[in-house]
Amino acid sequence: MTSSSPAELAVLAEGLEFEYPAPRRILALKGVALRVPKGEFAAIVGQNGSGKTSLARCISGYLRPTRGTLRVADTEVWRLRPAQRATRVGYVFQNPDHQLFRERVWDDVAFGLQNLGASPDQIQESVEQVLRRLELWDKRELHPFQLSRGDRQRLAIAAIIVMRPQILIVDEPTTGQDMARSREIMDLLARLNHDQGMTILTITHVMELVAEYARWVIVMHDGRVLLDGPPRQVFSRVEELRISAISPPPVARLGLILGLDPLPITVPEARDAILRRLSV
Amino acid sequence: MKLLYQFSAGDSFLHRLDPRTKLVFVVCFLISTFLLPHPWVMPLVIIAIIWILGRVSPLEYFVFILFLLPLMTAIVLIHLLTDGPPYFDARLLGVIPISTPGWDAGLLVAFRLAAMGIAFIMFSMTTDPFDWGMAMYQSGLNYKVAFMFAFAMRFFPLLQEELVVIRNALSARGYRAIGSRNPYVFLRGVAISIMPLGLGALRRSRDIALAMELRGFNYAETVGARRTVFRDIRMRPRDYAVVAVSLLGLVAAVGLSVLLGAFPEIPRAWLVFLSILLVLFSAIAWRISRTIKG
Amino acid sequence: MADPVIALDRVSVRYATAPSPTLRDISFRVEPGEFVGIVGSTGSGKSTLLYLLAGVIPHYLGAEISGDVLIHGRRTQELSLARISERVGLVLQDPEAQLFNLLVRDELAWGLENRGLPRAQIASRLASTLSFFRIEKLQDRITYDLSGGEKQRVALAAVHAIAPEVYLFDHPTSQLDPIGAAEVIAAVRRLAEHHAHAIVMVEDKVDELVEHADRLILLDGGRIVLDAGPREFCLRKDLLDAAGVRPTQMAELSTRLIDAGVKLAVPPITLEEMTAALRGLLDPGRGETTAG
Repeated sequence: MTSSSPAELAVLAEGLEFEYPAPRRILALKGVALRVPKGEFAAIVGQNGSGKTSLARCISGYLRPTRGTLRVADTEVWRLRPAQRATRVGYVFQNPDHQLFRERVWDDVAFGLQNLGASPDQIQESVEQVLRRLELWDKRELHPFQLSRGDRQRLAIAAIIVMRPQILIVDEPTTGQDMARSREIMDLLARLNHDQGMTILTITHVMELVAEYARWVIVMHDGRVLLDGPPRQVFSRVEELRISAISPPPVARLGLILGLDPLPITVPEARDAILRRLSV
Repeated sequence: MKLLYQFSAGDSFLHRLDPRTKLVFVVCFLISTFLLPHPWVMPLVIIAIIWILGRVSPLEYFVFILFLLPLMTAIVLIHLLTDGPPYFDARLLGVIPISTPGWDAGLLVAFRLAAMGIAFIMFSMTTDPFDWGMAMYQSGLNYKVAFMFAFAMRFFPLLQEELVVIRNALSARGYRAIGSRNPYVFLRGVAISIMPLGLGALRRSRDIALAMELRGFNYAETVGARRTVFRDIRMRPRDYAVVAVSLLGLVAAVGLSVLLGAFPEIPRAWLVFLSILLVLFSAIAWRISRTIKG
Repeated sequence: MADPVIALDRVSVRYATAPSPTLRDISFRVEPGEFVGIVGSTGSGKSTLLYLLAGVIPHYLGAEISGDVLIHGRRTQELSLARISERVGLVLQDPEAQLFNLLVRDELAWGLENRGLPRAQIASRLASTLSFFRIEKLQDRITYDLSGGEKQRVALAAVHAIAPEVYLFDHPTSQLDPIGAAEVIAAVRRLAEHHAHAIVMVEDKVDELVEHADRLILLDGGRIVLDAGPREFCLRKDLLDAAGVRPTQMAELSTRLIDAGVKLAVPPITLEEMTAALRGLLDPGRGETTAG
């Protein structure tokens, strides 16, 4: 990451606070400072109640910060109308069932573009492109209810990326799925990030996937960013991780115990590090 | 928009009353409300009862009251504009006559409505829906019917939460349903939201049905056994006392109403409504009497 | 040798709407007090197998079964689901779908109410279940206010109150965050202590199973392709790869290190084992270290 002038940042937050309105009155974000460059692939991690979801909701514009600065794609995104917001920030919720609005897969993907006022030709082209890319083209006539969980997850993502947001927030894409499917989703996000330069923010608690895919990790605790940096750096900060109750992947824990440097965070890295150590 | 306020667990006098007692009270209270000529008394009375005997402050349900206010205002307005002479000196927008009896009539109806609403939520806030269901089961209602009603209450908050997520997801698709002043857009948003809500509920209901089956929901019917009701639901002395007080109160209200000459000249619509209420009341009273015997 | 609690002998299952069988030629046994893990990728037939063991198939979900499914020596086809569920408990994946009462203690009593148990007995089972899982402080809570982990623990406790001999788990932690998952695993561990109950658990991630299971079964395309202890299971890279399942990170690491020539006599599959083994190899005081 080189420069960080505001225009090159996907997300810029300073002293960001958010308090849920009465009657709950919980201060969910207590002064978050964050700079996420455009094109980053970042993971937001933290326990339930750490503020990670509130942060994501603020970034996506649903929640209006009660105090502090937040600029997303260089705008105060909560001021925008939904149609304007959708091209800047896309949000994929955790449960795909909550995001399926039409009776045919094709229609569901087209729905967002229709709300954006795209022409029928544009819609036709974009929808086909996205459906083919996510391997749902053959299923375009089906009712979403008939799809498997994995397919519904992909459909939910398709319906958002078809609007070409600059930033994509994906909330817990791995819940209720096996590792193979979870990896497929992460591969998809990685391709979007690489091919289209889409900034990806994913909320997750599977540290193995964070280690494999994320280039930046934001650790939330008690309404603040406790720690942020590249995975290797974050996983070596033992004390902060203990406070935030985040557990690095097993190979990283092994590396910490054995004092391996640089800290391995994937299995191949661990193998190499150990072999190096053994041959010394 | 919460139409039925949720049960809030607590240990007040009201919480500890048998659900059937509270039902009797609510019915007596409602009828009394419609008999007494000073409309603003009854809402205050019920709020006080909830506060003192139920330890639930009005702040906990003020949103409900907020929801009532526009309705009450509308009713008063309608009466002001549609009831006949005599009129006030002032006129709406300088032209439209404002009815004087309309003011009284409007207030009467509006406050009665408020009292009715608050009485209902008194019931729902202080009564565990399962206590209510099981009380009805003990009074003779079919178990599955009684259970289903309570079960719906238990899942209502979940549906509310999901609806919030769904509306946000709708907004993520560029659809401006929330905060839209266009009724068509808003209503269409509601219609569109039903599908994901329904889908989620349908999917979950399959698992729920299985889990219920596995824990013996149909056991009693299959094997021919009788269910146990573990919770301790019965009419205690204080329940009888409250029932007695409620009935006495009703009699007093009738008496007072007749004495004041305020016993309403009831228009046909209200007569029908009251008869239905009466039938309901009798049915419940009959059920309760069966319990007391059994 | 005691009779197996569950015995399947060459069982195949085909759903009416499916073109081919979901489970093929399944033979396996669960002994009393055993903890068996079942692993496989999506579509391998894991849940179907569990439903078979719970009697859900054929009594609740229709499917063709060939072969015998025996619970304590009796065919599930001959028993009613009501009877089977007294002896075999099933905990499902979705924490929201297993609690239908308002208060936790009512939920725990509900299964017993349905069976018409006397109130005194219900009271004592309630008390013993609450203390067994140490969830006394949850008993007056409203079910929809609980966290995911708490909900699953209450679901488990509700099954426990019925006192089955066998516990089946269908991805019990897949919808939970790490803390909730840890709480549920701790509760299962309490069950598994003293080998008082047979436990069969389907999970996607092998990590927890490896720590607690006596045996692991690998399903691939509806067949059992591997039935072995945790260590042997984790080291069968060929079968795991074919089935689309990954072992623990440590097991993967062991395999790669062994391939690179590192001498690991007993290949470690957990972090503790790996740490101990590598410390032994790296410790200068131990003399020669071996490397590829």
